[in-house]
Amino acid sequence: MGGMCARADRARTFFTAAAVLLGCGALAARPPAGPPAWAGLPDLSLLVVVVVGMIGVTAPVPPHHESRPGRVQWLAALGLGVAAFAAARSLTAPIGPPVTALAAASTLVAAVAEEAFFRRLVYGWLAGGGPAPAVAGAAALFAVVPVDLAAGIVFGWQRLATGGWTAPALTHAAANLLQLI
Amino acid sequence: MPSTRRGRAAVREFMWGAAAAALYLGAVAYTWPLAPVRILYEGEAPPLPYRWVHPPAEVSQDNQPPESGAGQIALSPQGSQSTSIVTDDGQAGVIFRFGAIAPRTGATSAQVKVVPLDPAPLPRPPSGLRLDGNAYRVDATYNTGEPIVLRIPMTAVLRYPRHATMLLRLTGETWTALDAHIVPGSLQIFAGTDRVGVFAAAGPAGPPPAAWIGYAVAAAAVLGAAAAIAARRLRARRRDVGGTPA
Repeated sequence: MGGMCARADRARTFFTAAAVLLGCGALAARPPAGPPAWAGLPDLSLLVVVVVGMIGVTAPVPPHHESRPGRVQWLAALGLGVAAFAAARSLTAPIGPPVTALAAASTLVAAVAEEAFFRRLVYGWLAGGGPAPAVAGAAALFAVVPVDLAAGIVFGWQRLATGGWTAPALTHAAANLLQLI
Repeated sequence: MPSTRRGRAAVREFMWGAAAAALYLGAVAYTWPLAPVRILYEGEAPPLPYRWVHPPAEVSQDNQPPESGAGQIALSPQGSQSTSIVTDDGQAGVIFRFGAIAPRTGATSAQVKVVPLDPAPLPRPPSGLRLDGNAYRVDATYNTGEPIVLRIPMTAVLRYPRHATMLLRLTGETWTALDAHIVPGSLQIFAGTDRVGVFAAAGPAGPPPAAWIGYAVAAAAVLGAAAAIAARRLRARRRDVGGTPA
C-alpha cells in the first residue's frame, strides 16, 4: 500500500514538472497574433494560451497545507492588486493602435489562463519549498515568458494571501483591460 | 489573544502586499517611457488591419489611409514637458521625456508632427533588409521656427504590419539602425533616437518565419493537457481502489 502511494507521488511529481515545462515552452514559442495560417483555425497565440490554461487547471499539484482566509482578506488582496495596476496605468500613456472587442475578450481569457498556469500549477509545484520561493519562482517564470517580474510578484502575493488563484486572475484581467483604455 | 495574533499576521501580510505593489509602481515609473507600449498586453487576437500609404496588391481594396499626428509641447526654463505625440490611428508616435527639448531664448513651445510616408521613393534599406510598412517623418520645431535641439534622446515607436526586427532612421541618404526593442504581441518596435527625421521598421528580406512551428507547439501542449487529465483520472481510480475494503 505504501509502495503504491510512493509510486503515485512520484508519478504526480513527474506530471507536474512535465506540465510546467510544457506550458512554459508553449508560451515561449507561441507566435504573435496575426491572421490564422489556415482558414477556420482560431488565432494560434490565443489557442496556445488557452491550452496552457487548461494544463494549469487540470495538471496535478502537490498538496500543501494552506490557510484559507476569509472574504474580507480576499477582497482586500484583490483591491490592493487592482489599485496598484490602476495607479501604474495612470502613470503611463501607452502607444498602440485601437483594439477590437475580440482583442479585449481575448486578453481577458489569456489573463485567466495565465494565472491558472502560473499561480495554480507553477506556484503549487514550488510551494513545497515555502511561500517565498513559490512567489518568486512563479514570478520569475512569468517574467521570462510574458515579461513582467514585478507584476508577477504582485500576483504571487495575492496567491499567497488568498490561498487561491481567483484573486490574481481577476486582477490580471483588470490590469489587461486597463491597458486597453 | 489568538485573534490579535491573527490580526497582526494579516496586517503583516498586507504590508508585504503593499511592498509588492510599491515595487510594481516603481518598476513602471522607471521603465516608462523607455518601454512606451501596453504593459502585460500580449495581443492574443489579430490586430486591426495596418493602414498603408501605398498598400500591397493583396490588401489594396480594404486599405484605409494612415493618419498623421501633431502636438504642441510647452517649454519651461528646464526644457520641455514630458509628452507623447501619436498619430490618430496609433501606428506611430514619439515620446519626449521631461527636459528632452532644450529651452531656447524666445521660444515658449515646440510643435511636433508625425507624418506617414510611402517608403518606395526613399533610399533603399541596407542589403538583406526590406522596409516593413510605412515610413514616418517626425518634424519638430520651436514656435520661433528653428528646429528643436534634443538634450535627451526621444523615443520613436512604430507599429509594423508583418515582421520587423530593426528600427531604421534615415540620415541624408543613409539608413541607420537604432538600438530597438520589439514587442511582438502588439507588432510594435521602439528605440531611442538623438534626432528627429524619417523612421521605418525593417526586417529580413526573406519571408517571415513559418507559422507551423507554433501549431506543432500547440499540438504538444494539447497532448500534455490530455496526459495531465489522464494522470488525474488514474490517480482518482487508484484512490477508489485503495479505499475499497477487501
